[in-house]
Amino acid sequence: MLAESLFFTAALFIIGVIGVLIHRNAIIIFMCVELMLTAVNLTFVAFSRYYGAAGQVFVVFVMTVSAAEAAVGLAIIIAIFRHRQTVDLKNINLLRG
Amino acid sequence: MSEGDEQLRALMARYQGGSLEAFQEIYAQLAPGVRRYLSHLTSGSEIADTRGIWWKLAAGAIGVGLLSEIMIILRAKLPQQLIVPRDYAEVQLQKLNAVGVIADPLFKDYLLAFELTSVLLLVAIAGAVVLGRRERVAGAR
Repeated sequence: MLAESLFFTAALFIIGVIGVLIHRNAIIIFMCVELMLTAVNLTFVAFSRYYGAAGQVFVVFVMTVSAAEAAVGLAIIIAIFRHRQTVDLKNINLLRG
Repeated sequence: MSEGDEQLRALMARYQGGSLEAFQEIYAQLAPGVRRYLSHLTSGSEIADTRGIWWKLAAGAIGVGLLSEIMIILRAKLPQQLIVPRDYAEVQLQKLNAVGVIADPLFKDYLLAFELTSVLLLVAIAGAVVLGRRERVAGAR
């Protein structure tokens, strides 16, 4: 049971990683980051069945941090859109070396 | 269900035994779709981007690496101190009830972290409001 859950969460995490690496739309990248956070949460829950409920407590913290990150990130995306009329990251390369 | 789907299903029913030529025929059915998807990934459509084919290959390699890491970890033996009695969660559940199992560590062991996350949320809300506020045009109400 643990092995299956871990495999599932690893697959979810890898989908998130690949999505972040290949997409250029800021919102899709954002969704993929959330997917990675969800995968980590599911791993915590899967382990908490064997190692006690502290993992589920950590899930609460991770969800709080991801909510804060979503709020600030979406606000930043809105600000960028107002400034440049696009959220396509190929146009946003001011800090590129 | 599309027509191609039907065809594929009929094909698979016909070759239930699973010979090589059945596989080849099914592959021939699937290949145009796979090729279309690959060209969709690499051409200038909305999913493709300025990153070239090497970036995508690197992303795939990282994905494969992470997956193999997971496989290795799954096959490895856990250290002794990480192994907890099998019914540990159930014993805790009996002792503290369903709510207590979560609430006890949340409000005792991790109380400081809990308070800090509340401050973090407050700061995040303030930041989101500041960033998302529409700048007022001078003169207009």
